[in-house]
Amino acid sequence: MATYLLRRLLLGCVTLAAITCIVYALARNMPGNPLSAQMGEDPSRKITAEDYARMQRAYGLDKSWPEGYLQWAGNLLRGDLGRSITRKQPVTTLIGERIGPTLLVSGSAFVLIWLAAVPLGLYASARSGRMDERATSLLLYALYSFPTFVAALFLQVLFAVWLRGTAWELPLFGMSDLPADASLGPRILDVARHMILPVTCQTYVSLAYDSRFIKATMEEAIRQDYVRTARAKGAGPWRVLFRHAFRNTLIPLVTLLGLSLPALIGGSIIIEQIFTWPGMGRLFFESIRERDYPTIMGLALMFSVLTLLGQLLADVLYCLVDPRVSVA
Amino acid sequence: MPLLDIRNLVTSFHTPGGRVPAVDGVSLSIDRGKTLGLVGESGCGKSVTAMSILRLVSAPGVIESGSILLDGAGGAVDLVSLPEQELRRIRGGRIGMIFQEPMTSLNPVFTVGAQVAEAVLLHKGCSREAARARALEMLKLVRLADPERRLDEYPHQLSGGMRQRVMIAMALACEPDLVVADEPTTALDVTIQAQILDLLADLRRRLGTAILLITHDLGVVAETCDEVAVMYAGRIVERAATEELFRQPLHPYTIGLLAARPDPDMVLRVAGGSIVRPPLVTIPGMVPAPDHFPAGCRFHPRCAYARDQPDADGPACSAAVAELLEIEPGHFVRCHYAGRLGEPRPVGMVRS
Repeated sequence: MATYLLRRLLLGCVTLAAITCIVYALARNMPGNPLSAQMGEDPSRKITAEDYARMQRAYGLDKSWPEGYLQWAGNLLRGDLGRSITRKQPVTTLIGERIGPTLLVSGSAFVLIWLAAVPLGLYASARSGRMDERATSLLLYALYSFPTFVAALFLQVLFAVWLRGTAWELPLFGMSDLPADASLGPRILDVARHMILPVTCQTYVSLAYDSRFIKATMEEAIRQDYVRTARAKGAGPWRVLFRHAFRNTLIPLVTLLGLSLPALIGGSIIIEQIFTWPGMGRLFFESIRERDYPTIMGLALMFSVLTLLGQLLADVLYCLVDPRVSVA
Repeated sequence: MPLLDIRNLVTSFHTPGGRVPAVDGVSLSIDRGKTLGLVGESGCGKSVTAMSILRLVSAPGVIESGSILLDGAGGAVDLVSLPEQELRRIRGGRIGMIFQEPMTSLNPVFTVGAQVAEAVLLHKGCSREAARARALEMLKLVRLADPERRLDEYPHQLSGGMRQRVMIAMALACEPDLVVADEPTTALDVTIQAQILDLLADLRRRLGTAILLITHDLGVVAETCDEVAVMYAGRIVERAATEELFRQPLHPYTIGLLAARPDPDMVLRVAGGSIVRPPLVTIPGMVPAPDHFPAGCRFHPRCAYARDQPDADGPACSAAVAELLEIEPGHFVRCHYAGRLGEPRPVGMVRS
């Protein structure tokens, strides 16, 4: 196990080096740079050519991208992710500020998704082909194919415009309307109210997908010979369903779980953007728009690490749920 | 009365293309401690018959009519109409089941010991330790090598033959009155087949369990069964004691099956006295699919003895359905011309 983990970690480092190198190359070769992006937004700022060159040197923008990458990687090895060019703050501080709000939304959505998807999937597989299951599946399919940004805008119009002034009114965007010095109770309530729409948007698509996935794997498991064996030895329907069939669907479910780890912490760019939610997804979007290379790199590194960790986690969990798999 | 008495069982599959009667009026009975072989080609309905006994036919299959009477201390119960709750006590309790595919019939995520013990736990109100002890005892009984170690191993660590031994241990763990074995050796190597059959025969002698052995292999039947029922296109076409059937097959299909065995020394005595080398080495044509059963005798398109026109002896085979009649004591045949088949048509003349 230890040598296996060590090998995976080494491989992971190689993968990370490749990913960050590609991302850095792409970012640096996008048209524009942090200075032009900033000045494009603010035409009143006029600087001389000398000042411009001096700033370029200060941020290391005068170097070629391979040089820049090596410098970034060297700093990373010393534990330094660098400072944001446009926000004048360490990248780690920025991530630290943004990770909480993102986890709040995606974590709530994650819990809701799995709490609802597992029973829904089991229900759908148990009643497969009946009218009620078909109606539910149709609804879930419709939800799955409904784009998030349309749903988000629709929900905003419904709850923040049409229902304005009623008890159903919900905030249009942002995370909190109260001043920072408000007491804890009202603040929690206020954030919770702001969370409802983004969490709903993030939940429904995955819910549809995950419950379909669980239904499909469950139906696959129910058709297996060992399920017939279990019935033939006198096991009741619930025992057959949970002990014999569901236990076997954990294997594909673990994969799904591992793959959802990066999205959990990375947040949703679209949803955070629409609801102006101060999370990681929005930070990523803005840092790309501002050509803020250190922030782009810091986030890309984090997402890559999470993706690799998610896969490693899934592989390790396999050994727990499937005796046929061994890492040795 | 017999231990198990199946009467006029009809099991159909309701598909979008219509009703498909895979089992169409099958009657069988098994006495306590006896072995009945149910023989036929793939698709004749023998497995569906086996699955119907414990109501394990999966959708869209349904038992449409008939009864399956299981004799017991409190009188006979009809498994077709028994409430699900009570049927569960019979599954694995009074009737054990062994399936064709030992590779896939065991659950991959549980140990062998846990799976055998589960059968005990479900039926005997005993502790986990007692169930585990019983599982070990069963693994010893089925002569699994190194049973203490195997108890905690997973199915994928065992060979096909070993897994089938585990299946047998599971089926017999609660000392059932009847074991339904659906092609238990088909998926195994020939040498392992013989071992498994020996084991089954030995266990039957020691435990007094009756066995319904479903197979397409007449060699297996000859070695293990007291009685044989031959099934064709959803119906029993012939039933007799094993020796009698092999000595004097009366249905043209059985004659064909016996002739199709690769036995160079075999001669058949067709009723009427003549000893012949079997005229056919293979039966021409294919088993009809259940949605395309021919009218009249279902075997007539492939039969070397079929009559096209009614004559003084009987009807045209394509027109009239033959009944399963007792031609000689204990020997049932479903053929209009049983016992008076006449000369077979040359092979080339057989319509397929």
